[in-house]
Amino acid sequence: MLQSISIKEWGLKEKKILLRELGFTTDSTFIFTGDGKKVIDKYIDIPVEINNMLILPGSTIIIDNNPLSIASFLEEYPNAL
Amino acid sequence: MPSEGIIDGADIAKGSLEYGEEKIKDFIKQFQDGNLRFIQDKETIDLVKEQRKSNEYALYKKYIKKPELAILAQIGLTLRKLDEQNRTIELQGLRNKIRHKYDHAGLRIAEFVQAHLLTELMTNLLKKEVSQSELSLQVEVFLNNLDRNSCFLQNTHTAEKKAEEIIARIQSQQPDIFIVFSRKSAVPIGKEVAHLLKRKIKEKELNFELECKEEKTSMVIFIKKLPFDIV
Repeated sequence: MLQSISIKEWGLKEKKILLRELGFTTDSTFIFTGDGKKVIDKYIDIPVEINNMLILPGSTIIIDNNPLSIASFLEEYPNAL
Repeated sequence: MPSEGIIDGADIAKGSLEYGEEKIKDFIKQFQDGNLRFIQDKETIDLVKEQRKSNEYALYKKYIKKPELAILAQIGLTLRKLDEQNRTIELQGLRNKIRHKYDHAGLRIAEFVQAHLLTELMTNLLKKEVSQSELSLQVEVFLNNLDRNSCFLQNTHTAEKKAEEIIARIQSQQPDIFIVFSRKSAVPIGKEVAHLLKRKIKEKELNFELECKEEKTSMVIFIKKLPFDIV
């Protein structure tokens, strides 16, 4: 069963480990892919900030935590949340 | 039983957490197996999911097939909810994001849904005997031409001037349906505009009919094109 864990209260250190293990880096504000590109929320075209990221399984989708991105994600993956 | 810090279904672990590296790796293993997602708060997700469960959304989904319009319809319901709950900052933040992604035209569509107008429009169109595909087409064409096919009245507008403008627009554009909407302090202007439109349509013998729907704090005027042989 797909479960959720809130990372809202995680410290920066834990978030950095999480991102590192998933193949990303961070400058403590933004997130970068392995080849140094800023991670952009594909639904609303804004850079995702570490303090407001949602990390969703599948092909490791990182999006901004806002209703428009979530609605767009659910439109693409109706049962994924 | 869910493991520490992880929940299934309704509850989500909160609090200031200091997980060790091994624990985080364990979470990542579950994530990579497709069994875990990392979220911020349940409230934002629930806010969106709640709209997706509504009857209005079910109606929209049935007839709106274009993904972009379906998202804007869905997010219009979220705008409405935030407005009802007086969550002004979140409301403005969401409006900004809609404008950023979909420009002014997209925001107008979401506002149209927020104001119940899409439901009113679809209810009105459903009165006619049309097929699902015809209705889908009508709704999508209407939404894609929203600025041409609708007018939001404000309390600063002059009824006479607005009525003239609307008459000029329907005469030149000949829309199948044109919607005039007023809310709260603009409702008296809406009533006056409805009265003037009725008179002008009659005087000018235009092939349009008016249908008004007045709620407690809003008023919608549907101006519908008639088949030519009715005039």
